[in-house]
Parts: sequence; structure tokens; C-alpha cells
Amino acid sequence: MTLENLIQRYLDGGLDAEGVADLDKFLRHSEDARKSYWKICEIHCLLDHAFAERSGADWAVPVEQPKSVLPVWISGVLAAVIAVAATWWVIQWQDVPTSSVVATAKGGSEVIERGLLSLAAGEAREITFLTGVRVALEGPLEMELVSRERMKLLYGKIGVEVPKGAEGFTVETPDGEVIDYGTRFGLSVGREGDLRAEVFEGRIDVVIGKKVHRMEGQKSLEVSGHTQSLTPGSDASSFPMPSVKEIWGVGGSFNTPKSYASNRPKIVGGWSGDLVSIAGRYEDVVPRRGNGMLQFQGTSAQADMRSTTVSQLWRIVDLYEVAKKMGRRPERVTLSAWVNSVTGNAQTDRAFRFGLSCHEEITEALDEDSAVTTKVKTSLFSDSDPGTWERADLQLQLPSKLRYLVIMVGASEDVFDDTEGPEFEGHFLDDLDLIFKAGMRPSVDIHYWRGSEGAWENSAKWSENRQPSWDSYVVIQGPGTARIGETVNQNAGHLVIALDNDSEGSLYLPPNKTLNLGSSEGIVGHNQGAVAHAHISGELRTGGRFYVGRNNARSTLLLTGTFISSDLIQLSQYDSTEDTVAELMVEGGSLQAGALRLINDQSSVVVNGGGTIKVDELRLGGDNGEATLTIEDGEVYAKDFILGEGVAKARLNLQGGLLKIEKLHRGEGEFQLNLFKGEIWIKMPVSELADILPNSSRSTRGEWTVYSTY
Amino acid sequence: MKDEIKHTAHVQGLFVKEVSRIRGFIISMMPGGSEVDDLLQETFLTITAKAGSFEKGTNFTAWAITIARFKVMEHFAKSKKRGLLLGDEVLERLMDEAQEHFSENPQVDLLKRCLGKLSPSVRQMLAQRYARGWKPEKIAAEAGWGANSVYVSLSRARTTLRECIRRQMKGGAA
Repeated sequence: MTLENLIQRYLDGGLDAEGVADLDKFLRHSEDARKSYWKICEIHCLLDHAFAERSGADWAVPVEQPKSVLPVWISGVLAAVIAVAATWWVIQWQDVPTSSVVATAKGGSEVIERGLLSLAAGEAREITFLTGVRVALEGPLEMELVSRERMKLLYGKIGVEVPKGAEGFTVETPDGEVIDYGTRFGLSVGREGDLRAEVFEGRIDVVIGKKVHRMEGQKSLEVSGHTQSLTPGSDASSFPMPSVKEIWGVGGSFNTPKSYASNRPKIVGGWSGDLVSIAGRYEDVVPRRGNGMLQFQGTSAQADMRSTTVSQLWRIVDLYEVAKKMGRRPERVTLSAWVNSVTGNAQTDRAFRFGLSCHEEITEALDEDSAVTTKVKTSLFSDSDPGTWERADLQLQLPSKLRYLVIMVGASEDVFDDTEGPEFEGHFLDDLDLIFKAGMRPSVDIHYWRGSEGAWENSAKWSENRQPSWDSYVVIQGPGTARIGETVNQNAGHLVIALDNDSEGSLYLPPNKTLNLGSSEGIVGHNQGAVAHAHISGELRTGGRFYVGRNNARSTLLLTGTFISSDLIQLSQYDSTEDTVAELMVEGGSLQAGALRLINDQSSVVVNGGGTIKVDELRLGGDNGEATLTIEDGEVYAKDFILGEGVAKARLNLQGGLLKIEKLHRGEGEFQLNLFKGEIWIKMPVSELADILPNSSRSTRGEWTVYSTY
Repeated sequence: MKDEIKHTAHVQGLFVKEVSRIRGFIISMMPGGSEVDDLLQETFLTITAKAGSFEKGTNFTAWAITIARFKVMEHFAKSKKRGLLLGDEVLERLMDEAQEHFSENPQVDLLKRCLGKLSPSVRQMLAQRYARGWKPEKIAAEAGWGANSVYVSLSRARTTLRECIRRQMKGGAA
């Protein structure tokens, strides 16, 4: 942590003993460090001062209870002050009494205490009571968590799953209660008190006044005013449902001692692919969960063969089966997995790849490239510390008509330094989860931000015919896929996918559709923890700057269509503090821009499938992180190519294809060239290039100096 | 006797005028900010009790901060969370150098303008932290985030605000 972060965290009361010791050391020895401390305190105190002040606080969110009565005090006249002085200490901010935890959220990583919980329209959450009862919530909603076995639903929609042993879970409603006997059911309560209960499996008792409705099998009950009607059949699709987590082996942690190696998958279930095995502890790498982990070993199913540069596994999931388990069609899937590798050396490959794709049917060579209508991909680099695991995550919207989901995980060569193959000296994956969700945040939220001075004026749901208005931000947040129904006009407004902290957003621009942002900006992934994906299959045109990955967001832009920008496209940002992940994958698509800059952290561009990039300026590395350009199959042309500025690490991988540069500029940062296959053409004489690129294997063709492996 | 009451009232009046600075000093020394109100109260009581020893015309803020400083150290001496506090030596040094940082007038107006530029969720988080006095863990639980995200977001928000205020001041001067 930087000094500044240490100080801030200390002031927020979140620094552990080790951090405090570090900070102590800094502050003890440096007057400058102490000055920084007080500088940060200035803003800290100013915020405290500003928020304690109630009058004229129109910029603040409503606060029900001020922390203290100090402001009243300040504004009072002296005489009043003295009179009040004796009593005002008594009036203190009453903190919520220490209440016991009744439920958790986000896979147990967060705890929820007894009390009220409300969701705004469009919001959704999933909570798990400590008894194991899982409840999916959809806003607008207000509820109270009463105990581990009981909640009150004031209004809103919920989907409940009660496991064996947790029977008796009760949901109170304004007019009665629903008692569960081990089942899945949906319940909605309107603001007027009208109620709808549907049981999908098992049995519930719905008590309304003195009347008890016993509902078994598939039934629905509607209560409105004095009318109560019980009908057979139920429809899960109108309720949110708890997500389904696919578990393979023991908790997806690859503990079963067997090799999965085989060819491409043909049947549902089971892993297949290249040569892998299950390892226990391997050198300094310890399984993340359980006592086994998946080890990638070869790029083919046979040990002595080499087919590609990636060691990968696939798995086919039948979404119909998932739908059965879940009670309704899954709408979104999240893949999360952890990777690690041995310390290795400079030659050790560190890239891992992940993919999710949807298919209509299982064909002969079913992989992530065949018969695909929608897909996402991401890559991740392990660090050289075997003591830490790195986490990959990836989300995909599931189209309603496609039955099969294909998952791909793999380790990939990224240092092309040899002809022998990848250095998988110990590359591992563990703790893989696949989480299916439905009915959570059912649509995409769009917020409009007007002008530069503006405030958030309104937010509205995205609909196909609603067009973003002039001078506004279009913020796509939530798992819904924003489909661009038709060509959007010039000056459509700024496009922001996943704006807020920890938000998620995705954009799919279908073939034959054009989105023109005019001179507005585009941002894919704006804030801390945001996860943003954009898949451009149609045509995206921009005249303003376009950013992929800012402020520690994880952002992916997959281009299978066309992207034309007359301005700058930037991956990651300057002064990025931690781990912004910015990826641009040009898979058979084409990109044209004034400039393409890969600045910081994990920013990478991959060109394959015959994709093309044509830019005036291409900047690889601009600050202090790592930037990688990989050309697997395709062509990249740059008038000016700036390599490694600042203390950045620039990595250029050629695995095939062509890189054409008019003028090559060398910054002071580190630079690594991996020329495995393909050619680099530079319109400069050899004499000028001698200091920049290695001497080996080059030739002269007219004005061009050509680097190749042969 | 009447004079004494008048003098005490005068000193209390000065306290009211300077309360945000004194509070600021305490906040700056108290990680997490949980006992700030108590310490401010104790400082007020001590200032009232010792009003007689304050000489009119001398620097009130410096005097009050000296008392607040004493209260803070007294509190730390009793505190059970010693391990999560900076060492006495560092605390003393920081407090020695505190005065110069509490001389300027707070730029609340600039701050408000800058707050308007943050995203609503970040503003809400700041309100929870500062207006409601919530701990980052509680903010995290409420928002469905990890606590770490909250710490990082708070840090980032403050950095952004500082930068924005600095720019605004520059702009204002030009």
C-alpha cells in the first residue's frame, strides 16, 4: 500500500497491526510523511464538517438522523448555547444496537444483520439465511429480517428455496403469513397489500386472516381485497429465483484423482480437452480448496504432441438441465476460477484463458468458435508468486433459445521464446464456480447525466425504442444486455457500461446494427470493482474518446464487427493504483482509430481470426503497469508505434500475422519482443533500429526493414 | 464572581466558534472516528472547568487543541486497541505539527461543488461514513460490497475531492 492509502485506511479504522507498524515507521522518520498525514486529515475533516452540517445540504443524500446536534449549536446564539450545553451531550447518534447476524450474501462473504432491507426498482439481491434458506429479492422491495427462520415482506417480489432441515421458514406479509414445508415458491406483495403466491415444488401454507390455504405441487394463489382465488399451475418466470451453482468434483475444486484428457467435447457433462491432471501440492503451489487442483500439462490430448499453444479444457452444460434445477430459465452465468503458477523464470508462460459461449446444438467440433451466437472471453496472467492465487471472472448473458453452454479454461503460451512449446512448468486452476442467475435485476438501468454541471436527473429502464438523448450519459448497468434496436443517431450521448463501484454491465451490438456515438465519449468499465463487457458484432462509430477499463474496473471489449474511431481508444489509465484489467480482443473484426493506447496494469490487445487494426498512433505501455499486444492471426498497422514509456513493461507477441509500422519510437520502459511466427515490417533503415530491436533475422525490402523468424 | 461567569461564557463562545477545528483535530487522531463525540464533550467540559486559565487575547485554538490533545492521549492510554494505533512517539510528533494545519478556513463550498461531480453511489457512501458515522464494514454490508471495496472507494473519493478542490482554488484565483 502507498503511504497515502495507509493513512486513509488508518483514519477509516481499517488498518491491521502490520499496516499500522508500516505507517508508524513512515511517520516516525519523515516529516513529509507527517505532512501528508495532515493533508489527508484536511479533506477528512472537511467532509466530516460538511456532512454534519444539515442546512443547505441539497447535494447530499437524505440523512434521517444527523450524527450530532452540533450544527444547531453553532447557529444558535451564545446564550442559547450555554443553556443547551448541559443537555446536548445526551442527544447522541444512536447506533443500531448490536444485532445478531441472521443471513449472508455474496456466497457468505458478507453478513446481514437483523433489520430492514429495501431495494429500489430494478435492484436485486440474493441472501442466504443461516438455516440455508435462500431468498432472491427483486426491487422495489421492502422487508425485514426478523430471525434466522422468519422474515417480513412489506412489499416486493421474492423467490424462496427452503432446503431439507429448514422447514418452517415463515414469511410474514402485511395481512398474513406463508409457512414453508421444504419447497421452492414465489411470493409477491403489492403496495396495496395484494398478494400472489406460487408454489413450484413441495408444500406451503398461506395464512390470510383466519383462512389457511394449503398449497401443494404447482399452485398459485391470488389475493386482492376480499377475493382469494386458488388455481392449479404456476409460472416461475415472473419471480426472481435463487441462483444455481454448478458443482463439479468436490466443490469444483478438482479433487478427483483422474486425468480429464481427451479430445473436444461431444457430450454434456465431464471435462475434455488437452493433457491435464490432478495435482496435490506442487513445489510451492498449494491447492486453493480441498487437496487437489487442476494442472495444465500439454497442448494436445497426447503427451508427446503439440497442436496449439494453449492447454485447454472444455465442458458442455445443458441449460435445460440447469433450468430444471433452478425452476426457471437461467438468464446469466458467471464463471469464476482461480489460477496460479510456479515461480518459474522469464521464459515461463503466465497467461490463462477463459471463455463462455452459447450454442444451439452439439456439433462435431463443438468449441467456442463454432455456431456461436454469443460469447465472451477473457485472459488473466498469473504472477510469479506461487503463494497467491489470481482470480478470473467472466459473465455471459444467456439467450433464451440456445440450449448449450460451453465453458473453456486453459493455460496459454504468452512468451514466445522458443520453438519447443509453452513452458507449463506448473500451471494450475482451482476453485471453479459456475453460477446461474435469473430474474435478478431484470432489465438494464440507464441513467442520464446532463451537462457538465448536472446532477443525476432521472434514471429509466432501457427499452429498445428509447433512444439516448443529446448530451447525456447512457449508463448501462446491470446484467441485462442492451440491445441496440436500430441505428442510433449522431450525438447519441456518452456511453458508459458499468459506471458505479462493483456494478456489472454488458453491451451486445448485433450484426447489421450501428451505434454512432458522435463526438461523445464511451467508457467500458468505469469504477472500482465494476465488471464490463462489450461485444461489438455490428458497427460502432465514435468521434470522441473511448476508454476500456478505468479505476480498477475489469473490462473486456470483444470485436467481431467494426469499430471506427476518429479519436483515441485507451485501455486502462494513467495513475492506476491497483488492478485495472482492460482487454481488447479483435477476433476477425476490424478496428480503425486515431490512436490506440495501452497504458497500465493488465491492458492487452489480442488480434486473431484475421482481425485488423489500423491506427495513426499505437502506444504500448504508458505508465507503470504491463501492456501486451499479441497478434495471433491478423494484421496491425500503425503510423507511429511508441514502445514502453515511463516504467511500463511493454510486451509484443507475434504468433502469426503481420505488424506494420512506419515509425518506431522507443520509450525508456522495459520491452520484450516474442517473435514466434509472423513478420514485423518497419519503414526505417536498419541503422536506426539497431538500438531498439534485436539484431537477429532481419532483412531489407525496399524502404522496409523486415523482422521474421525465418 | 460575575466576571468569572462572563469569562467562562466567553471561552465557551470561542469553543463554539472553533468547534469544527477542535473536532477536526480529534478526528484526525482517532482511527475509525468512533469516540470523537465523547472526546469533544470531555474537551468542552475541561475547557469550561479551566476557563480561568485561558488568557484573553491569546490563541484560543492552540489552547483548546492542547486540551484536546491531552484528552486524546488519556483516551489512548486506557484503550484496549493499542496494537492498532500509531506509537506514542509518532502521535506526539504528529500533534506537535498539527497547529499549522488547522489555521486555514475550511473550503466547504468548494467541497460541495466537487461532491456534485462524484457518482451518486460514492456520494451516498460518503454520507454514510460521515453523516451517519457508519464503519466501512457496515457500509459494505448495506451495499452488498466487500469491505475492501469500501475502503478503496473512500480513499479514492477523498483523493478525487482533494484534487478537485485544488483545481477549483486555482481556477478561482485565475
